[in-house]
Amino acid sequence: MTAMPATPALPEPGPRLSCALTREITCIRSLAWRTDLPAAIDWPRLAAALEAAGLVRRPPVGAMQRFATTRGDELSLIPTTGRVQFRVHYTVPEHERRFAAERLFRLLYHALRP
Amino acid sequence: MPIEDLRELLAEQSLTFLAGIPYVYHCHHYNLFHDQTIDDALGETEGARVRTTAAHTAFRELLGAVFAATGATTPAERISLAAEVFAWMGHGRISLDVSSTGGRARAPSLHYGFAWREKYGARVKRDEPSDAVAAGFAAATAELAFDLAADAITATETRCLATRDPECEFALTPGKGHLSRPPIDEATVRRYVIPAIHGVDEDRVAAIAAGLLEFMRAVQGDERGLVAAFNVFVTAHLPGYYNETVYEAVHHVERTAPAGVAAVEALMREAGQVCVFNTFGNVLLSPEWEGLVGPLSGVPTDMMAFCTAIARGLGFGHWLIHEYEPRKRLVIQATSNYEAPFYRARYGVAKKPRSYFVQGASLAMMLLSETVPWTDRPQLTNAYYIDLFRSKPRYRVEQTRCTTRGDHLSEYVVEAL
Repeated sequence: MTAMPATPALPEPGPRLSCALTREITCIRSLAWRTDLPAAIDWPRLAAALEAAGLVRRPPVGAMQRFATTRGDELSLIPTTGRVQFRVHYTVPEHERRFAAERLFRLLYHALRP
Repeated sequence: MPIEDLRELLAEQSLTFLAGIPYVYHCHHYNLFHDQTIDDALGETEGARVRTTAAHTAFRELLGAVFAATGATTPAERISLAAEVFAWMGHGRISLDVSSTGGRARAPSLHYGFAWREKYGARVKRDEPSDAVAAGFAAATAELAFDLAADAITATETRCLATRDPECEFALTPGKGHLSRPPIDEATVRRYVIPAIHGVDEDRVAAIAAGLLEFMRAVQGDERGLVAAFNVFVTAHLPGYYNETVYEAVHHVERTAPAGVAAVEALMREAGQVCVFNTFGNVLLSPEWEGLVGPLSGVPTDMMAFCTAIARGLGFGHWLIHEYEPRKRLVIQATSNYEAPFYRARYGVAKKPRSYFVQGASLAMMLLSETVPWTDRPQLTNAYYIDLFRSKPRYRVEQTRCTTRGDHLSEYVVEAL
């Protein structure tokens, strides 16, 4: 019942950070993925880096910050808990969803780099 | 006038209206299960007919009210506005090419067909189209666009995403026509609610429900007319559709096969269980919930409060926890729900409790609060659903009071077996 690792963890972008992409809790096949970050990271800097990378900030939902690609994929950050969700747009064919999620994951990884 | 401006909230009862017609939020898991339940009770052909008729009636009520509120008078205005409303509700984008004698409609993405293909398409082959709701909508739109009588137009889905066609298509042909019934609108609903009362943990439930209602106000269909939120596809849907299908199916079995009544009532209750397991469960596990409320503790009293708040946030009515003793007993009461006004207005006073949806939902709330290991991030799969509802601990639910029967309020008692 726990999420299964989908990709190996990426090398640490900073001295104390490790992140792995896993399947999110969802009944829709391969649309939602997650990683967890330490709550102590610099979230405003991360948000700015995501925007600089081309993501568009969308209205927040409570503590959840949302960013979207031009295709409609979404990346949601919850600084209070460290949860990050990658939501691939539902029009992406199922066999391509994992790769779309990995692209978002890499984008996050690069945004985390000092 | 923007569609959002047609919304109204009867806040103390957690009831939502669009142009004065009640609407609620349900996810694709529930919607697909509900339709399957109707077909299981009536058979595929009669089930599809009842579902299409119910959608036709429900959308006639809604669109008639929308056109009156917005002053839409020409056929072109009405057809365009109807399609926008349908997409805003998350049912998909549909284009209609119709006259006063019928025509056709096409849709590249519809909630039911798309979600069915997404959920089952890889492992189940379907032969029958899935979009009775869109068919009923198309017929209602064509009738109202040309000021025709109810049932002057009949719509049939001829191609469907769920049957592996590239898009959905509908044929609209002349129907027989009949007199329409008065709509079940806000004034009707208000006759069957009582002043809201406080339940256990009321302040927390009310605060979370208010936050959810506010969040849901921003939810609307995307460019394809679909809503992806809380890890599910969501629709703003018409209680008239759910209620007419359920009660017509149950009444049909009562008339024709009385020995099967218990079984069909159990099916209708199970739809409530499926809703709580999938819709409430996915809401609780979603990042949206974590952002709005915080991470889940898994403590049963917390989870019960959360489930009650979700019911209110989705517009299901003023549900409250009257008693809750973990692992033993739960008493849910409702000063309003979306089943009772429909039943009383259409059929009069019931002889027995008829609020099947909340019966099943109450039982599921007990199980979700007691048994699901929320902090372990459970996957809400079909296998887990079966395991959860068939394993111990087991509970039974009895509706002890029901506003459809003329009781002051509705009450659902869940007890350990």
